[in-house]
Amino acid sequence: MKPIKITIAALAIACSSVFALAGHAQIRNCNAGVGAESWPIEPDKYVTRNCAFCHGEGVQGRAVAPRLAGQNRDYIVVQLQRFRNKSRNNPFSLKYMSHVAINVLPENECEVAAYLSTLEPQPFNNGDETLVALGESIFKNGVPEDNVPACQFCHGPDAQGGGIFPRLGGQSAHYLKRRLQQWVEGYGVIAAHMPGIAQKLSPEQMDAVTSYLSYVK
Amino acid sequence: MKAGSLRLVVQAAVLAVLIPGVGFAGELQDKIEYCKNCHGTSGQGFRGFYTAPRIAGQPVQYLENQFKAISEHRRDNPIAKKFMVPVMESVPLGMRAAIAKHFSELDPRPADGGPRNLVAAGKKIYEEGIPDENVPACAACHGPDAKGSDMVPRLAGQFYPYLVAQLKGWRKGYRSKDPVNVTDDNTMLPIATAMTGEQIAAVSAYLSYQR
Repeated sequence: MKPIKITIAALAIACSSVFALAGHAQIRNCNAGVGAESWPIEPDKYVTRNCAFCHGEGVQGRAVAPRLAGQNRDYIVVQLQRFRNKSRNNPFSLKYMSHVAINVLPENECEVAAYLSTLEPQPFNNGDETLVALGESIFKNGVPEDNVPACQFCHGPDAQGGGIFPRLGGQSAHYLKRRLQQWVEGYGVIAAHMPGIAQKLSPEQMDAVTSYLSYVK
Repeated sequence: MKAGSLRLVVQAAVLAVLIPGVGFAGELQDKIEYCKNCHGTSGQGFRGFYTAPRIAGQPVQYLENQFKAISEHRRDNPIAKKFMVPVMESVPLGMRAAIAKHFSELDPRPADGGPRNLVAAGKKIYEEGIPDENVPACAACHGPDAKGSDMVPRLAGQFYPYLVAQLKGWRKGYRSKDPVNVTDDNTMLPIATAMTGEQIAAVSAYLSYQR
């Protein structure tokens, strides 16, 4: 390769990193009318064709793929961007969602996410029932002596979330626990306060709060 | 005693003094990080489902007075009771001064401003008060740059929705007593209750942009 080509290649890499960084900072504003000129899609058919194979019938979640029904629009849009730029980087995300998210066109993502947020979420009810009371206390009060903040401060009193904060109520206990563990393992460090909070939770506290959440309607 | 074992004894003594100190520093750092989960990584305030105010740049004495008021259930609005009462129970008395000092020294940019079109009207209220309503100039106590001092809180750069909620809270009977002289009425009680919703919005909008 001649020097000039190397320079061009280096420039291209530098530019793409700059855009990748810009992607971290920018959150698409779905209220800014970006959907107006979007490619016309029928969101229900789009979701059935593209999401339900892994995320289950009615996108109510299945195995490691979380429930999308009733999830908050802006949270979904931010996560799609993180899958695309690989900052949500646990092995399953890199293997599946990084590719899938690239195929959700930016001009459609607000529309798709808004549609998902309108679906009625069904609770998974798959946590350990004996830990629910402890889990509810952790969710509502945190564990002040262990410096764990109250989950409801960001996620809301009914774990409904809002804006960029996800709905956790009724989500699969297994999925929620893996997310907490992944932050401890060093994945997804972009997620604001969550890596630090997850590190402060004991395995039993993780089991408890995720068990509680799986039963929240 | 040989010189070698004397050295060991000295080293052990030095460590015995140092280790509790290291433990405290670590615990303090953990507790400060705990505060920042809700109040923002620079104490600039943070909006989750609920809103936590800016605590950066607050005078040490104001913060310590509030810690005490929270512990004694005198910061009595529902959100303070719900979140801050259990939090303060977990903060050792001996750690409070260091936490207050840490946040008093932070100076992040304002993070949550109100409506821009109200700023001019708000500036006038802040600097001149509302003489017809017997509302004094806010600047008289909170300072011309709204940085506060001693027991008077900083208002500059405070979150707009927090300022509005506090001023309207006095109408609802929250924070009605002075944080230090607990049998006296809070200085802000007659002032805040004399203000209209529009005046509260305006002065809060002005303050939310002050650096």
